[in-house]
Amino acid sequence: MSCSQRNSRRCRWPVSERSSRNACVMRRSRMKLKSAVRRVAVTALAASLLLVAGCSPPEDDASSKITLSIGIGDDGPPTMVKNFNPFGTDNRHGTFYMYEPLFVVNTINSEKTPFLAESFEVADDAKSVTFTLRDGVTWTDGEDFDAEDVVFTFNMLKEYPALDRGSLWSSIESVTGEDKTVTVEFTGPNAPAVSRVGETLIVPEHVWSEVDDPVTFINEEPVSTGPYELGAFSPNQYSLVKNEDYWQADSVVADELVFPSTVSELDIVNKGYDWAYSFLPDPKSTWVGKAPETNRFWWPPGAPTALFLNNAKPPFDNVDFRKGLSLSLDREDISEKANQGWGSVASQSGLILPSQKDLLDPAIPDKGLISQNSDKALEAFERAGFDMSDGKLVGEDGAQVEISMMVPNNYANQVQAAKVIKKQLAQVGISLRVETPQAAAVQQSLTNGDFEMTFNWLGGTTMYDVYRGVLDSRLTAPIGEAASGNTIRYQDPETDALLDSLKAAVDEDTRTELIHQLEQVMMNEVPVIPIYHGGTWGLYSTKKVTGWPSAENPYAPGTPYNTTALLVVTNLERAG
Amino acid sequence: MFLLTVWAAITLNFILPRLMPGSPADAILAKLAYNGPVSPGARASIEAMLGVPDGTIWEQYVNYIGALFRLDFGLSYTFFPQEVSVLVADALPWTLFLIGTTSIIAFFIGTILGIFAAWRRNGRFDTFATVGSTFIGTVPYFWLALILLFGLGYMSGLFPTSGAYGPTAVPEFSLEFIMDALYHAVLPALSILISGLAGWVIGMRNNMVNSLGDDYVRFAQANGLRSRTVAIKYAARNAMLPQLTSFGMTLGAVVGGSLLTEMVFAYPGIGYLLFNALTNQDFPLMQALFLVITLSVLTANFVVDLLYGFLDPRTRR
Amino acid sequence: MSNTGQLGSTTTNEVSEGLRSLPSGFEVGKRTLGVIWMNKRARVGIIILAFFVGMGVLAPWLSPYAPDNATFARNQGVSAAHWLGTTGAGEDVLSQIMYGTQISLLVGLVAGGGVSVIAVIVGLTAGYLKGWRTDVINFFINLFLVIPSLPLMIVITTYVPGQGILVIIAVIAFTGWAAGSRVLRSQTQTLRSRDFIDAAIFSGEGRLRILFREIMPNMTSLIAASFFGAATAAIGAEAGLSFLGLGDLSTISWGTMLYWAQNNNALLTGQWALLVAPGLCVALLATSLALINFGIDAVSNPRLRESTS
Repeated sequence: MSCSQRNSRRCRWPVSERSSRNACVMRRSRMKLKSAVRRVAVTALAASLLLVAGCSPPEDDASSKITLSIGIGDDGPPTMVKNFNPFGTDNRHGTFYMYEPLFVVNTINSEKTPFLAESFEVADDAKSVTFTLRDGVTWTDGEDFDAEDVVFTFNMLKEYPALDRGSLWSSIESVTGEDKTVTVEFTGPNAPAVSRVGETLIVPEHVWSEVDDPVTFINEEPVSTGPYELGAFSPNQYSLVKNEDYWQADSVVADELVFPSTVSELDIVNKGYDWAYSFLPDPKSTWVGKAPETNRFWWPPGAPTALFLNNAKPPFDNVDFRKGLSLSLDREDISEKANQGWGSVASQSGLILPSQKDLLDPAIPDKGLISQNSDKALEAFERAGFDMSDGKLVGEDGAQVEISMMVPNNYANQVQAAKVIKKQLAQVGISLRVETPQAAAVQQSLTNGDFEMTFNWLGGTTMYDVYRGVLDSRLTAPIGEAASGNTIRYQDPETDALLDSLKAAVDEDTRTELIHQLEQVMMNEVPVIPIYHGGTWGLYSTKKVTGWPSAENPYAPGTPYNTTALLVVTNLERAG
Repeated sequence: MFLLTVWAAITLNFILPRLMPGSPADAILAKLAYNGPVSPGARASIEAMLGVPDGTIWEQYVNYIGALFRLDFGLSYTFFPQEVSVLVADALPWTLFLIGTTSIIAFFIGTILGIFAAWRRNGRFDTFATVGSTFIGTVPYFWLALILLFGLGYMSGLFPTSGAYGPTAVPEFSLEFIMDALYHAVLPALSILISGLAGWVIGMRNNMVNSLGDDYVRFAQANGLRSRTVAIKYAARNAMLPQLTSFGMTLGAVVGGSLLTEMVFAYPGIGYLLFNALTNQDFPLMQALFLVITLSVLTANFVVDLLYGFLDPRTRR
Repeated sequence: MSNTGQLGSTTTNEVSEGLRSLPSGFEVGKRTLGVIWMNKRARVGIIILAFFVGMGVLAPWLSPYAPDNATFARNQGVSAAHWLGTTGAGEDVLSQIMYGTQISLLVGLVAGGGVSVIAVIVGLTAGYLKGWRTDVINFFINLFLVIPSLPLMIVITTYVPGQGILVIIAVIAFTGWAAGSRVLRSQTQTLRSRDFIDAAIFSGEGRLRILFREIMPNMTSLIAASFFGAATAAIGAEAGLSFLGLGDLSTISWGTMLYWAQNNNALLTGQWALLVAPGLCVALLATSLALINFGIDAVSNPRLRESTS
């Protein structure tokens, strides 16, 4: 069974998503096919004209067209809906190769690469940001791209909150622009919001203003600015073809990208994709061994997977108990079992190490890596009022400490991790009950605070977003009510103040200093327990193209399903 | 009675999804979280997108029944903004084609084998057929599907490993496409056929053994009629009746699909769609699918009852 | 799973001639077992079943390692130390198979028993009562026959908090009784028009007594058949649910083994045994039950006895 068909451990969203061929989609895709044929014909004609004109590219380039197959089930299975709405919850991956944001943030090192905006400037008070847009960008239907498109896009998100999934308009006051400049005013100082604004995909005003309801719009014939345009679409597979008028067309070497709806791990290995994304057991033999000359992989650490503890519920409301738990865990062992040897343990600071090592407070011992220490754990538990008796950790009421832990049943690596944690906690006399409901049920329990312990990610576009997501008491809610963030229900006014300062800080040194202080909160308060880094499972073949992201050149995490894909397709080079 | 059961099934379809923990918004959030952290406030935007059901549970129920009569199932949450009716209409033919055809083939082959097994009772063929099909019939069919997939799909590369048609094919009525679809159906069909056969073989064998023991058959044999004539004309004919009942039930269940088989082969049928709906808390899709499935079972039952009266003279009063 | 339910279950219109008058229970039992043992297929079934029961019960002594001992090298192939290799987490597959037997036997026994109890109560009541009460019960039987059982199981397992193996068993029992009760209903209807029931009614026996003392003993073999049929289906259902990740993932059962084999891509690493062994065990155990059912069919229906031909 393929990974995308079912929740295989680390393929992305597991449980199958979509399916459909509807009659009209089919009809249109057949039309599209014809138009693609026409386009190829036109391109061929243009190429021959170029030859006549004597400005032909080198011989071999013209003859060998590069087609890359991208091996990540595009949320098929079994078949795909033709939906390229950049703001939808069920859009195809291809959307991210067609539409562009103002800039792309490399999640590995937070570096911003300009796309539609040539540059941007954050005001000193962090209350606004001004983007200078790129010249000479056109939409694929020939219209010019300008500030009005950007302003329109943001105002559309305001009008339709259903599209505004990053809730940008909770921090934006207004978006104005003229010609090639766009200014976004925030409701208050908000430096971190710049990243979220900059990452928003921009759509053409002249097309989208005609759309009745952009929420239910499936955008079958995308008009975009990016490196690729939609080619042939069938329910099992579609292709994107290079946009020859792309503003940096020179940087794009692949002429065509192919996206199948269903890809299993066995497909990846047997069919030999150029770019795949999946955790394979023992990749050195299963992937590289299949084609030692060309198959490569680079799996940089991703957002830390952490134990989320319900800080509002006893005994987790006691910081010493939380510390005791943290000290009871052997992260090496958990990570090793959960990721079959391919994980790395995470720092209690909340940073992704080593990629964010520059942000690490040097005062934190051992980079914030906590090692298992049963004696210290028991000391902490004792401070919290728990004693070891008869091999059981008992509270004041004499009852053994029992913890229930929820793990979504489709996250096999987390289920595996929970099994290991269960054994480790048994050693300090805690009985852990592992429950494996469906992901939605876990999500609901998390939102409503109806949980004791579960796994989740520590992540966000900036460190502010990471810490805010778990520490900001203004996002949380009492147990039984839905919290928009901070589902662990951590409350501390001083931390809130720190977060606000960080939000307003523009200066790099001030920011780093504030992040250090938040790291200390993580270390001292243990609101969550980071265990291991979630992986990023990029698999590459250098047969046709080189320049894939790698440890030497970590310009992108190698995920083919978000905006960082733009970084990859503009960085590739023809092999040989 | 028929209508009452239909009503009950429809009502159950309304209640069941609402009993499930987690809301559709949670399901979508969980889904988005898989690709990376979701920003605070995303939930509000998703709820705005899906629209929270209006009114009390009774008003929802009345709206639901009303919409059913208009065959309006709304938009799918999982495949938002795709219409549920379109999704179901797209998946249904594939399930009917795959499971329907194989069920019919399994019924005929199984019944014929059963007749032979009973005729040569306790012979080598009988033992082989009954014990063999007992074993095969108890093999978990998804496991059989997996083994077939890996053996004949991946290892040998003889058959395609997923989907109902080739990667670039677009469904249409052309010979080329039909051949492609048949080719893709081989493995899933084989897995259903093999595991479905057993029930028919044993059922028919037992029925046959029974009717061969009936007085009138013995009487016919005593009257010097040829054994084969007796077997086919009298015994088999009567033994068919209970088989037909089961067959009707099976045909009704066809629409429900073989959820696991469809999943193993990424086959775009009702079963797969149902699993998508179930795991993603997709109420509108779930309700439509349950409705289609229960209605087809009910209808099949109804037809079987009618047919039974027609075929069995004893019930014709 | 839908296919297995039909195996071995007798058709409704068979009324056994051998059970008209009842001698003492002990003798009946002896004779019944005799008939079952006489049946070659049933004998094979009993032997296979005994093998699995032995393996399950003796697992703590027989298995080479603890089933959750994850200290071995990952994804190992078949070797002398690990006859069936190791899992992606580094556990011994053979030990897991042995312990997994316990779960499957438990599921078969308890869920099969649960299904039979419900089926007997509902089926007998529906068959014996008349008028609107029968209609009500029939209505529920029909309803449960109509609802697709696997999806229903999926819905319920996600609804019930906690996925303990007992929950799974309860769900299987709750969704699986309808077919059995329909068979028993028809049989009860046939029996209740018999003379000996009329006699019992005239002698003033209570309804419950008639139902469970007079009618039920006459259907022992049918009930046994429905038990074995239900147990077979339950074992398959548990495997399917666990394979989907809907079972109790913290227990080691053949179904969860398949879940892990699938999710850890056992075949990519050449772990054939990890995928093949659990499925084969499910099939063999279920086959043994179905084979025993051949023998039971022979009890209820002498025409199916091997010796009579």
